[in-house]
Amino acid sequence: MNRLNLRTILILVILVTSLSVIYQNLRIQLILTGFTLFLLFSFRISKHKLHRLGHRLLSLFKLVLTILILQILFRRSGEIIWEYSFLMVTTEGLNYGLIASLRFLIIILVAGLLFDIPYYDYLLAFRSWKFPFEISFLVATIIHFVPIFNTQFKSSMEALQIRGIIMQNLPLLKRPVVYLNLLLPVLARAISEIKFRAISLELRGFRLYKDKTYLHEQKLSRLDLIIQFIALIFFLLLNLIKIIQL
Amino acid sequence: MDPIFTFSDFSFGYLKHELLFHDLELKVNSNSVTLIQGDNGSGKTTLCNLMSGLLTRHKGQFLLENHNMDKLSKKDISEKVVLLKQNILGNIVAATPEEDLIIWQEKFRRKCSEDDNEKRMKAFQLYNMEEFLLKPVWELSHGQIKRITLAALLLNSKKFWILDEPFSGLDSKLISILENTIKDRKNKNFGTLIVSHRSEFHTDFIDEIYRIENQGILKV
Amino acid sequence: MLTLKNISFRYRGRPAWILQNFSFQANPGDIIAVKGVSGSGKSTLLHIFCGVIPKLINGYFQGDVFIGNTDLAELSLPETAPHMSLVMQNPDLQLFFPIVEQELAFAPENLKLHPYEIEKRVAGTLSELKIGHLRYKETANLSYGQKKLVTFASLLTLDPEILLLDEISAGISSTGIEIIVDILKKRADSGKIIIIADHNPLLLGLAKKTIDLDEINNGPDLHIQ
Repeated sequence: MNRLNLRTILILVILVTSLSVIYQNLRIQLILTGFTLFLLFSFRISKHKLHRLGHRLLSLFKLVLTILILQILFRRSGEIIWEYSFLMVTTEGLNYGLIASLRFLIIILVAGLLFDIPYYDYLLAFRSWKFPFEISFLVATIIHFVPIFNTQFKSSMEALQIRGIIMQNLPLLKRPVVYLNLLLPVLARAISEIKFRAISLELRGFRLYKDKTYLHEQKLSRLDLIIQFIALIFFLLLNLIKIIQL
Repeated sequence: MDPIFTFSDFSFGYLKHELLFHDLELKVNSNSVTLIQGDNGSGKTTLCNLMSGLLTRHKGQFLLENHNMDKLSKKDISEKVVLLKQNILGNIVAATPEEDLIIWQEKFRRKCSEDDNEKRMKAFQLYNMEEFLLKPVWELSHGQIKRITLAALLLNSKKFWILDEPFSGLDSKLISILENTIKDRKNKNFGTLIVSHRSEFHTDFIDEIYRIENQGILKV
Repeated sequence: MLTLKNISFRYRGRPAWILQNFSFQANPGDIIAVKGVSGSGKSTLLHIFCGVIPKLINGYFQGDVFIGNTDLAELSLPETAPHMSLVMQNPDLQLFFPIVEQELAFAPENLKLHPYEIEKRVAGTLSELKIGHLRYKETANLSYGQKKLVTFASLLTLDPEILLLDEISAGISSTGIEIIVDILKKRADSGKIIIIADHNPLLLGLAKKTIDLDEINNGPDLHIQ
């Protein structure tokens, strides 16, 4: 499929997250979640990545559920649906619980989407917006630090498994000690890796000239421009409505 | 000869429609030295990861000694075999060589005894590592990190060794130290499986050579 | 022509000099082997050649490196790349794109070559290394050896005058090594300078000159065979 330009995706991401933060409305949150999912599926091509997305969602499901339950239990206004001693479920609690967890879900999905976009796509997108290179490199590096850190942490966990150190078998109090022991080397290594990644990019002529050519032209397609335009109108309109409501 | 690993009717693939192994038949002896070769991307590393329990989902029969691999816990497997990963940094968890080997010994469960300390020092001496024992891993060269992982193997002398490209990046002196260790082990009836591209082995200590080809494995 | 003049270097916080007053010259067509025990500074030397030391890695550095008549200190790393570039040991640090084809196209794209020429280099390199089947594969799913081949391929599409190769043979099958040997021979015949830090005897066998770091570090004077 014709891939969207990263600039378009960044605009859509900003739109979705800001709307999600602004609106305390279940219907809008649902629409935004659906839209984020659509964005994810349209951007990820391979089955392998879909698999990973599934895993990521499954592992975060517990967290989203916890947020939901906490919100439900701590909101006390609105109609009471169910009550047992001090526990109480109200319409408003349910409403806010769902909104909060959907909002959280959207942020996780968006973050996942951003991590999977290659380094240099960011640099290109930022440059076309006339960001200074140093800043865009910093942003791209920070965004990519998470997956690098993640891979290294996983690899350290594997190394522990080979040694017969199985996290689940260790006493609960020991586990933080083990994690702390892993953390420093993993962090230090990830930081030193970033330096060598930058070296490798530059030794392949990155940033040699102000612009570059492309094997496959990557101009903004008409679809990109249309989507960017609609997104902008949509964003302004919804904000306008919000302001009028106030 | 008892096989330590038995594959029969064995299939594995990362994706459902792309099998890496199909109907694989292989017996790996517990007390001899097995060499596995194959082209880049043929599945050598995958095979190592399967045998050390890092990868699971497979089809068909896959035994470690006489136990079904599926039924064994990660800990059971780690008590029988030890893997040297090809990606050498992936073998290290601590900040310095010294700490890394201490974690091998203590496993966050106990403290090192005098005996342990002596054993560790001997391992470091064999690979001539005294000068960088306390240096942070991220300041060491590739070859130095490799030596940490080889020293760690010496602390696991009673397990079956699975070595994924152990000789790459080693100079001739280190290669002969490692070869002698493997020969020594064989004389004591401890086996080793080696994945390597090196064709110019002193083949006197290798008992069986296999080649991965067309989703299966052939004896050479 | 690549010239090193009176190079001395040691890492900050470490007493041992990796090089002291070291001079060296390589001419077009030369294949040079860098030898030395593990930890003797083979990778460090390659970093000095291409200017990563002292530009990005700190330490006590003295001396000059020249490509032809140009002082390397006056070139930024991206400006150095078309003249001289390096493949490092760890392939995971050198892959940036989801698909192999993009990885190979990156360098010639930076050189502002015409898409037709980029395609020629990408396709040519893939077939020369006999990895055409990897063109549309995801880099993240490649095996270690395949990743190494792809990083080598991305140096070939850049096509610099001086190629620095750090442990290029690690994890490569014997057929793969034969292919690499053929490619390096051809490149040297066409006037490139190739500097190899490696342990593979086939690759080392290509070299006409050797820099032996053990000898340099042990003796008071410099020895260049």
